[in-house]
Amino acid sequence: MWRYVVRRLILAVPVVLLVCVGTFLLIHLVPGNPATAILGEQASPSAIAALDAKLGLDRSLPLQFAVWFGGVVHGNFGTSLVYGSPVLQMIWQRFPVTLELTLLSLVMSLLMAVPFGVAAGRRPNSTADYASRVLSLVGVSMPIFWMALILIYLFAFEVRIFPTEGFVPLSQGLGANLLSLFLPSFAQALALMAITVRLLRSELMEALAQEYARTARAKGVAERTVVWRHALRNALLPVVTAIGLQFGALLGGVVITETIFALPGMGSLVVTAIFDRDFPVVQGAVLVFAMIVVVVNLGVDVLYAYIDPRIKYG
Amino acid sequence: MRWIPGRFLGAAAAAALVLGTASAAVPASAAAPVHGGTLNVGVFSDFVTLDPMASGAVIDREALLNIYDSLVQYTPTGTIAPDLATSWSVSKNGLVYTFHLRHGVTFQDGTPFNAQAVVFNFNRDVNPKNASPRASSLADVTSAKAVGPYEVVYTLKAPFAPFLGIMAGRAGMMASPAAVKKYGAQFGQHPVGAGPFAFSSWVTGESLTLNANPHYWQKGKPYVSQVVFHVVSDPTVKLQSLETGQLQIIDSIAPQDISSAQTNKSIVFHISPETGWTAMFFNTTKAPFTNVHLREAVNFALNRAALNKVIYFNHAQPDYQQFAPSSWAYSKSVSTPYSIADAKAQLKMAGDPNGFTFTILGNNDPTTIQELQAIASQLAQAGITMKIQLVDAASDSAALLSGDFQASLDQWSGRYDPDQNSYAFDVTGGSFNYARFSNPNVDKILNTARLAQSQAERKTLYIELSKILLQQDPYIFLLYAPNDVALAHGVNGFTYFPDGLLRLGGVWLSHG
Repeated sequence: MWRYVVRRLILAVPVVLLVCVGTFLLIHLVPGNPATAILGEQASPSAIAALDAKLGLDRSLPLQFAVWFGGVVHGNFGTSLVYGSPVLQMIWQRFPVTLELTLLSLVMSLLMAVPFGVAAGRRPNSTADYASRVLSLVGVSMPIFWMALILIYLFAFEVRIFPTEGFVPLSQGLGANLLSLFLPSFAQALALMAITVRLLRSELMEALAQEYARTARAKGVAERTVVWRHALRNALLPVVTAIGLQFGALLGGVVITETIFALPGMGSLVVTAIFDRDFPVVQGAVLVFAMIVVVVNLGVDVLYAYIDPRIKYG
Repeated sequence: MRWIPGRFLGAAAAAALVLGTASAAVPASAAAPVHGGTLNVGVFSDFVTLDPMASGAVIDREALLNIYDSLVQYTPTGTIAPDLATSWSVSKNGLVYTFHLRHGVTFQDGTPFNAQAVVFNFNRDVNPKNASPRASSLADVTSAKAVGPYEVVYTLKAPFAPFLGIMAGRAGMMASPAAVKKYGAQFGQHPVGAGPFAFSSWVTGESLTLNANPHYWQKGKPYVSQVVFHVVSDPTVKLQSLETGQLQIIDSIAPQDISSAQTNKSIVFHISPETGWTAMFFNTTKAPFTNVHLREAVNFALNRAALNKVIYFNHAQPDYQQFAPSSWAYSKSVSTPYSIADAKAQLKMAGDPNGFTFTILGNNDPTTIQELQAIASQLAQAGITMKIQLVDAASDSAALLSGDFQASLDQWSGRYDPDQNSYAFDVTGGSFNYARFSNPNVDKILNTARLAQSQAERKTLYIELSKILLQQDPYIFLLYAPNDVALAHGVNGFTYFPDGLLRLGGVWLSHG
């Protein structure tokens, strides 16, 4: 198993390297430069030229990439061109917010998806099935930003249970922290849940029709056990794959959610950095995102072995 | 105030002070000010830097005005008043300005404010190594010298009427020399000035916290113990946060929410026309807009009143010039009628009787998109096809600089002195002359106005300038968008400036 993990990690190196080069080229392909963001409406040609020289942006692209990449290899992600702070420090400051938001969204989506998916899969065309289908239709068709604005209006403005925006760190109490993250996580969870419910429903229906389920029933095993111990375990395999794949999309989603709810996470950091053409911040943050996606996908593959003991890595 | 996420010319969020016909102070409460409490302020965008030497973004001024005091300051009615300088004198030839500084002022780090500090700040602004946006506005200043512990002399190359106005802005803001030396390149994240509030912490993208400056020279001020600026880019969420009490002041409201804000009894609302301008910039060196008749045709075909109704729900005002209605340089007589017939006549004169096609760049934000779509349908009535290309602020600015554009919709946040709203845009080769416009009469007027000593003389020249620009149309000014600020009840002592920027030293909370 460990050899497999190490091999996968080594294989991930070219992937991450490609992402780095790709990001670097893309952000430099887009017109505009950080000097215009720093100078704002004071960006005269002479001021921009002076600032470019100060920031080292007048050097050739390969040289800029080499300098940046050389730093990354040594654990130095460079300095934000706009804010002047170390990129790694900015990422670490914001990473916990995004991590908590992503994990909460995932947990919330599973808390909704599993009961609904199981109920729907056990009794197709029942009330629970229709309810789950309507809910997943709503989740999958409503854009996150729209859902977020409706949730804010309903549960922060009309009924004032949650704050309208902002983030309360864990250090100021778990209750306040969870309150500040509830609506953004819920908005994301609804979208995430939609796909999981539908997948779980069809997989479970299929599993329950398999011969091993019939055999278990014939042996007198309680229906409950048949569903939760025998069928669900098999139905979960593709669901876990889907969740792993969706994790990347979820990281993309935080970009929007964090901006609407004014959360100081990685998503809003990347958005601002892209608008400002703050190259080192964009590159650093995308690198971290890429590494997370690689690790999560590896984690999913490892999880297979636990769910289905027939799968062995060596 | 319109909501525009871009920071380049784009942030109409602010503008400088202008003679304030529209200014209105909140009626002073009869009760004595109470000390204490935290003031939560919602702002439309994060700050870029808190160093006045390095700052160029409009939003920065919101924080800088509260951290730093400057040599002189504007009043809400647009006159210059003492601040860190108690008085000043100007030599007869207009070349030497002598400032007498306030005694007993210390920076927030406890170091003294004096003539040496002023000279230090000037040298920092003009040092080419620092690549400061202040350098161009100070280009006509030869030197600043300390002639006594509390006396500084600025020497100019030529008379320069806007000089005092510039000293009321970021070039006149005084940073602590000791702190600049201590923090070096990181000073923008650890600002130290002599203003009412001292820096405490800044989580980029989320919030900036300032604490009351215990050493502040205005005894008793500031009243609130803490100010927290929260970055809330969505205007609807920001307004809701004000109404739920999460925020006590917000710096802008979406145009569609203005009418309800005006009648909403749970908030106090201020509005005035922006002090800058929003305009279509034409590249006068690139087809089709090398032809002045085509520029004029667009101007005639533009129905500003309809635009105001559709985009701003009638909360804006039609604009035909670079100066705001509250400016002394403004002239009512400068305007064009809306006339499709005149537009068609111009097209005929240009040799394009059936109309022409051009592409305009615009920021990818809701207000700009609506505005451009409305303009496109108006121009279509005269046979002009306007294609819209949406870009982000940095791409727009790259196109303006390279000249690779036909037209672009942009804003200038505006300054008190008319020179700062016109010179760099209109003079041949000017630093913001993205229209690449060149007209010898305009150059002559602008340069004469800089040398002129009296306001009356300058006013005549600026009105002449506005008339020429309206005939030549390198820019087509659209509307004075509304600047606005909304406060929760219980926020007292707030003075509204027409630029919409928040000066919080005098604000106090009813419940402390």
